[in-house]
Amino acid sequence: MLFLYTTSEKEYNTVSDRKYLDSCIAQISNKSEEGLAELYKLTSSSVYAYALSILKNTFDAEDIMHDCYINIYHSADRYQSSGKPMAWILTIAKNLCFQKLREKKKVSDILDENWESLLMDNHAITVEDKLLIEKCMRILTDEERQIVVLHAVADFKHREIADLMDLLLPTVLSKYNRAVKKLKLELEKECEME
Amino acid sequence: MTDKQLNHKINQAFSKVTPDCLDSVLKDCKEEKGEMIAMTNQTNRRQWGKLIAVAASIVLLITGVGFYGNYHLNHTAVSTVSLDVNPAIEMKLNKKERVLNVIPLNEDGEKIIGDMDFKNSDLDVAVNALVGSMLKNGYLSDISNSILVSVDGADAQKSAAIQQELSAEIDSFMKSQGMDVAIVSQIVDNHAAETIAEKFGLSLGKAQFIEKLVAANPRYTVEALAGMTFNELNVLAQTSKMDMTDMNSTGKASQKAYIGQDRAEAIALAHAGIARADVLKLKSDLETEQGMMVYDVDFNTRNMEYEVLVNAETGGIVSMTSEKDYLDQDDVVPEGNYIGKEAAKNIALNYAGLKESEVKNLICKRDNDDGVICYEVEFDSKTTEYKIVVDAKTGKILEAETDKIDNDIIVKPSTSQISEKDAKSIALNYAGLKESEVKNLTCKRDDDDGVICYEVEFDSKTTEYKIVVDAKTGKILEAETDKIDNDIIVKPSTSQISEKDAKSIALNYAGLKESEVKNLTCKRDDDDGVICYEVKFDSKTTEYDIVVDAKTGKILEVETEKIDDASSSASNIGKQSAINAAVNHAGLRASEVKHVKCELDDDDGMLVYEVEFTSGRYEYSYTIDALKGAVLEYEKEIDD
Repeated sequence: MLFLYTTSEKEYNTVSDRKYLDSCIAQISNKSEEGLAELYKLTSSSVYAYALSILKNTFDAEDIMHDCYINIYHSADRYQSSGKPMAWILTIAKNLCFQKLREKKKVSDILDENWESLLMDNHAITVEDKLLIEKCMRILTDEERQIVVLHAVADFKHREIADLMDLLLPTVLSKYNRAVKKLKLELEKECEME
Repeated sequence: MTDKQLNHKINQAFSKVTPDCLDSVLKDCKEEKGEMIAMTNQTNRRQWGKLIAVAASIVLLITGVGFYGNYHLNHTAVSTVSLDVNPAIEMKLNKKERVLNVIPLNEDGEKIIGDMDFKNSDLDVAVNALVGSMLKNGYLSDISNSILVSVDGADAQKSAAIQQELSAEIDSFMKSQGMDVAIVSQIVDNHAAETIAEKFGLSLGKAQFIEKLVAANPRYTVEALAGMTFNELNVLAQTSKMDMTDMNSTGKASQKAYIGQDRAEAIALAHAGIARADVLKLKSDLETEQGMMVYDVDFNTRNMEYEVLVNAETGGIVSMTSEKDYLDQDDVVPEGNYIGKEAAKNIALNYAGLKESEVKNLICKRDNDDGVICYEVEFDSKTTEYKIVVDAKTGKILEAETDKIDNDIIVKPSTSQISEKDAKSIALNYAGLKESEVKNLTCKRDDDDGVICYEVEFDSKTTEYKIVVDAKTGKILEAETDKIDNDIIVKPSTSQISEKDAKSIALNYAGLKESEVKNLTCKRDDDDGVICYEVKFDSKTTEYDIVVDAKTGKILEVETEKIDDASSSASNIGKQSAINAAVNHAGLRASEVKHVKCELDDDDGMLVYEVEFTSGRYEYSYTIDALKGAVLEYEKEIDD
């Protein structure tokens, strides 16, 4: 069995994709490692990006991502196929994130993330990518950032974001629009300066 | 930049940053089966960040249950040696050439390793053990005796030394077991082969070898070769006289599993029903076809040309093709005034700038084109179909046609641009769709900084495509896709959406169906020059007022209001009833009360009437359930 290491922009919000994810989760409930690997391949970037948008710390985000999948592995048998597998997965991630945040409040070792250095290892990252992520972290409010990530990376519809984040739909929409405006403005500024 | 583009960029950026921790996830899953993991214990793993990452990648574990490590993590030991027979095994060595660990790259490799633990063993000892295991398990035998040894390490000299040493070691070991072995050893230097290695689950060494084979034989594809044993690959390499100068090859790859050329030729002739005596030319080669080893038997009779593929192991017929071919003497020797087929072939190949070994499906037919005798020569290079007509007398090229072997797109050599029709086909092809499966198909010629191109746009059921095709080469320059949101209707060629669409969009936004709402209205409006639709409707609990942009279908404004039950008085008992209930409860008659006040109020979501009145010296205050009329609260006070 071979696992591919690709960064594919997989959109998994069509009905058939959700069904496929459901079937992966079903496999996992039978303790199938292949199922877990497949699920991981399809969803890891969403989980990571979402965790990162909440925690703003790459080490923590990676921790959460790891634990999220362990969690999924153990609770897959309790998942009830509701046609919203991504919501289930990201809810797990969200809860883990908040737990982590509570823990961190006790231990005040908040390292201000140095985004430049963290992204240096990976050759595939371009300057533009780094800039974009940095902007997301610095310029947007917590909610704005989470909404943007859920929409752009996990392909959530605004309604689904509202459900996950416990916000009202119009709130999500206006925050999203504001966030996008901010980002665009910042990126254009960067272009002008070059 | 559009929202779409921004989203795309964000998606890409985050996806690239996402680390790969699948290995440790799978490992942890097994170790902690049945238990929920306590969160805090895991954080220590990452607190040292990069340090741990590097250390972790060196300590790769063999899990032994069908699971193979992430390829990229493997390049941290000093040297890597891989063995390929059928089983594929990788060994990491440290500076002193001791084995750090041994990793199976496929299931057979796992079998070979079994329970053996190689940590810190001497390289020779480890290799002997592995090769011995292969022998024992039947992977190395009389009929399949080739082994590929690939060495990968930063120090070239050391790698070469290891390569030699191992070859000698394996050779003497096998001889001591009474077997002749064919060893190919190489230094891994083609890291571009990594993509192939990953895609097909091969060792880098095997991938490199396959690349070389494919480069030497345009007929072969990586797909077909990837699944073959190394012995088969070695046989092909040796029979096709592949360039093995940068490899060390000893011994002869065993062909004992195959029936042999003579037998294959005999079978081929028998199948075609031709007697040996009638055959003018005959040759046969070991090749691979559809993943099988076959003998390619080519022969000619007076009138026909045959090619028969015979399964090299079973002798079964895989395929036979025959063609009319007037193999007269004029084929080789010019007949009278004609230059002869051989000459025509050469002229045509020359014209295309190709050698006979670089093409396949080479045919040459004599023809009569309106009285002009000529030779029609056809052949395919890797990318193009050629059809060249050579004048039989003068040897001049009369006609030349080329056709890109790529979804039938014709690259016209004489004109400098492809047509709009072609651009559309190319774009549709790229998307894997047929014209019948898309709508709103448009194609515009454009000039992108001097590069003439076609902008082709169309929508499939779920996605909007925008593809830019280079007008000269037909290459795809740009491709953009945008998911069509569910039920948002992509506008047709008119510049506005219809009222019906606006209603759908608004309802969709609210997550409601038309059947679930009442008072649905839709009015066209002009909001500061922006044409839009004002869609209003009521659900059971909420009033919606949604403004939809008439051009784009985007939601411009949303207003919602909880429906005040008081406005639909049908469900309330009414003020008078409330007053009556209160007065009744007080034991009074309507004529006995004064200063009656009654107001509808919202008591934590519940609608009630607050009723007040005086009677004699008392002041009464009641709270009445607006729906049911029950007395909820009351107070009686002396009115001073």
